[in-house]
Amino acid sequence: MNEAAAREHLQTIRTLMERTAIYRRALAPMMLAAGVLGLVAAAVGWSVPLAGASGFFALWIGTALVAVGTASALVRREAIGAAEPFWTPPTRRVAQAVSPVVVAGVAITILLAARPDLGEGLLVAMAVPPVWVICHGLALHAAGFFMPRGIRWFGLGFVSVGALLVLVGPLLPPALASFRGAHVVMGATFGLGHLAYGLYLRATERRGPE
Amino acid sequence: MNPGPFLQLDRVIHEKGRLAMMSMLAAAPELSFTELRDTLGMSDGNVMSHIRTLQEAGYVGVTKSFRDNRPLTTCSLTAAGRAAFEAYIGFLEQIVAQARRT
Repeated sequence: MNEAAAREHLQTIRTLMERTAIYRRALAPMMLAAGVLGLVAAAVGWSVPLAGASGFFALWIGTALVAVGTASALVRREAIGAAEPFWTPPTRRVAQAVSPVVVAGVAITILLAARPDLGEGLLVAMAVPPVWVICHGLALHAAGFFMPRGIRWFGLGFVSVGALLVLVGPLLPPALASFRGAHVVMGATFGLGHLAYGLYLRATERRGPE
Repeated sequence: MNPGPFLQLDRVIHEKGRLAMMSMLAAAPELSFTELRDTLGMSDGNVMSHIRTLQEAGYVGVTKSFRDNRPLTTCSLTAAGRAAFEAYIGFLEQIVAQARRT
């Protein structure tokens, strides 16, 4: 065997190992938990009178933090069960992939939340849900390169829905362009979207590979 | 060129299909028959044949079970398989390093 063949073999091995070492932990439970949390938060936002933009941000940022905490706990539990470390190479790659767009989403949120004069108006209700949906979709799509194939499609679905919301937002009648409407959008996308995907993952996992 | 490393290459692992399987199994705790077959685009017979060879060499362990009344075959590297795979990569790296020096 010559050097070129040895190099080629090593490259093939590296590629196959990277492709195989994808992130698989606790995906269905994470999606189901995120879906349930999203629906609960949307129901709270719809039924409890919250104080405009600050209430909207408090509810949904709080929900996001609870979702991240729950996901971490689920991943940690599965890692302990498998006698593996929490911070594996696939986990690191997923974290690196989602970081830029998460930072972008947080920056836009801070910008809008720091301007109460804008925030109390319709801007937050109309702009924030699509921005969050698009950022979340981009993060899922980026992470999908290191996760099972379906995650990328799920991410693209979020991006498409977010883009659609941007397009139809200005056309909505005033009755729908409100914080209550924004809670419905959040519940439908983050709640129902994750719940549906979690159920799909659970169903396909049950069928299992032969 | 020193032929040493080349002569030490493990013939069981060196075959293209088995090398691909060993690479995948080295990166995951266990993989199902279907995952191996679909990722590598091999036929069922091909995968079975390679798994049998690796199993006979003591490099791969095969577990047969049922999940929801469907048969499930999973493969994983044995300790001997992992050591042989690491040695194989070591030999490839030696070949590359040797060529660099000359």
